[in-house]
Amino acid sequence: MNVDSALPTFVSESRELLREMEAALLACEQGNGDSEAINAIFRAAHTIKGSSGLFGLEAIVAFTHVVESVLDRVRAQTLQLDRELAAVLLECRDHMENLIGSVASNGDARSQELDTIGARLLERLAAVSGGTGTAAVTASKAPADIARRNVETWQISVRFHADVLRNGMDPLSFIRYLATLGSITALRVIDADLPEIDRFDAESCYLGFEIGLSTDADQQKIEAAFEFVRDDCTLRIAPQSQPTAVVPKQSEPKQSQSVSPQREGKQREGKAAKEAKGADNRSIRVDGDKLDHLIDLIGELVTAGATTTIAARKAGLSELNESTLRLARLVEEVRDQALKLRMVQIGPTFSRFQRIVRDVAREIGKEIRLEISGAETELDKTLIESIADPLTHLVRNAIDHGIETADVRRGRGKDAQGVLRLNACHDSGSVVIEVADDGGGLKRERIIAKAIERGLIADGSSLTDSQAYALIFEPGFSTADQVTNLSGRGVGMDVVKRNVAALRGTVELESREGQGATVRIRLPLTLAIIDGFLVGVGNACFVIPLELVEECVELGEEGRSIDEECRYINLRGAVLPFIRLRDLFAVQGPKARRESIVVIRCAGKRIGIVVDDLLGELQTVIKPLSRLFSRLRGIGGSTVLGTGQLALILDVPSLLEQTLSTRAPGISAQPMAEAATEHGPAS
Amino acid sequence: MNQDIQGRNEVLRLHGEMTIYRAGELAQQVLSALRQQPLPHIDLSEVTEFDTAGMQILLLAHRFAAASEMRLAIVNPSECVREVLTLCNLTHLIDAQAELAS
Repeated sequence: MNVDSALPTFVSESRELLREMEAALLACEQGNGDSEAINAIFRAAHTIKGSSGLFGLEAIVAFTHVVESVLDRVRAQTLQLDRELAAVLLECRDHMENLIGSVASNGDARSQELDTIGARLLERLAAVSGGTGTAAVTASKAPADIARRNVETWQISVRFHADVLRNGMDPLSFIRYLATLGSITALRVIDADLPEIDRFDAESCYLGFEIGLSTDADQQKIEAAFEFVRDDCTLRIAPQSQPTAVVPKQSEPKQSQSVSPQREGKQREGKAAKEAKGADNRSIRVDGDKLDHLIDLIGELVTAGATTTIAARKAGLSELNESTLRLARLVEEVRDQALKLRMVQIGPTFSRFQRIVRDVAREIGKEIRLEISGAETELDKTLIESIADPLTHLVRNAIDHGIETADVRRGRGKDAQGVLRLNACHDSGSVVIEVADDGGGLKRERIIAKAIERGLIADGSSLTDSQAYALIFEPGFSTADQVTNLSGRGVGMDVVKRNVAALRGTVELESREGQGATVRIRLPLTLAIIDGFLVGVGNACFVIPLELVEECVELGEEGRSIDEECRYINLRGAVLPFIRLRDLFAVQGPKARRESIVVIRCAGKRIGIVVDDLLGELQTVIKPLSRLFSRLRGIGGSTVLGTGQLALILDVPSLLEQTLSTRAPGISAQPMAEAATEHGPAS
Repeated sequence: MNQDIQGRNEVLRLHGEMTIYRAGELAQQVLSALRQQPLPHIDLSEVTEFDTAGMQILLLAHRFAAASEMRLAIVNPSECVREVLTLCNLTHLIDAQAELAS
């Protein structure tokens, strides 16, 4: 095994384990920890120690070993995992994460600073757990307990498979752990399988053990001692009163469904372990760059496919047409599947907030519970990565300013413990992520007063509630009475808005004074490819995201003749504001004889877009605009059509926002037109 | 790892870890000592860590010596070696007599 190339895998796997460990520790701290959680914590520490050993990371092994021994006692139920211990263990976990982080960046976990922190933590751990003495402490304690309970003697027969050592397990540690369950009355090492010296492989295990164990633990618990080597050993446990011949490698049907008794054959015992393993094996790690490259290629494939389809149609060969259609359908499926590869559940991102909520709430002395729903909602990996920061801002804001202190809450007749909710769901082609709290909500007057003070508005009386709330997304706006070290410095909400907008998303805010506030982030499902609706204006082509298109209607004489200032029509009795792309982007070219309106629904609002031609649906690979056009609003990207022509993709949410705000006097569409001309030469 | 010559007996003194990480290398050294020397002594006083892989090497060496009717002396086990051998009821591997002699 090439150790260096495996290091990144070690780092990422360890981080994953540490996340599980954190979740389980938090559950334990809140009193919701069961044996499953304790096992998860132990497993994380155990595995990290084992793998660190393989890489020779002594600092991690040494530290984790102490943590593991404490956890071992928790697992053996000789030590109670209470709040205090869980809190220290959480800090130990953090230290392990730092150690691993240091390995990831410097290739080594040794540094003066880390060593000092580690030593201090271990001292505290020793204080809380009553000494970090390992097996010896518990072993001497356990037999005393045994006298009181139902003690039985078990015959344990275990044969380790050849790979157990290579898998980072030391059979001796399981024997030592058994000693903590009771007292070992007999132990014999079975070395019958040791080969001749020239066939001896020092890294293979050839040993087995026959152990007599006197304990009050039941069979399940004894089996659990071997949980980590289930796949790497053949285990047989029987009460000694029931005399059974000890035959190596012959298994009782009850405990193992061994198919192949041969030595290399992997024998799996314990259904749960087997299933868990199965689930592990179903997923593989893929380098993110490879995936991005694949998506990129598929994007090109989609474009090339479109070109072929057009060429085939022009050629007028029915056979060719048929096969290109079949090809197009396959490409579409491949595209969908490839995009799904990038989809990951938001759950782990949400779970990370358990810790943030706990730490922050504790720091500022509030009682807050985090509720998570919709954790299984999937969205593009890039989006998940980019949304974590804005979410953190929102969560901190809600904890800091939203939820009141326990005293205030009691005074208002609320439950002393505040609730913060994170929710995610799919909603017509986009993902909605909500951060909701049951705190004080936003205070309209305070926001308006502050906005006037900052010179953002002149007078707030005409603003609707949602317009007033939207002010907090303005740069440099903060209404917190108190500046804490978490938030309240006036940065945050504007950053959130900017980050979300960069992902082609929107932010909405809903609030009820005294009852809480909800921030709703709406994001597209993916960033790479969209189903688009192609429209033509003059000689230019534009793409509208298809999922937003509601219907297309012809713009009648009534709509064309009305004066330019009044931009709305009567659509079956409802008012529909509309914009002309021709005016908006100052498109040159002769006016078309007929015009159509594409009706679009976005974020609960409807708007019509007036275009010359409706050119139909197409799959569109989004090519981001260069940084030169980053300030350009209303355009989200570009795409190359099958004909080689360039089409601009409309950024409908920002278009909508701008159009609706241009209806207010004083702001004109002028900048847009300039920007469009500026963009002209590139297309 | 040093190979010291002490008197007539050739002593193979193992240092440091006697674990899976170095098992291959250690097995080579122990086995070549067994092949080349009439009265091999393996001194374990400087062993700082000892696991199943280490124990396996001792067991193998012991069995090989017994089969070829050769006298192998495993001497001066360090604390960690003794702990493992005691746990596994394998203290008979240690040659107390040779320990006294050397």
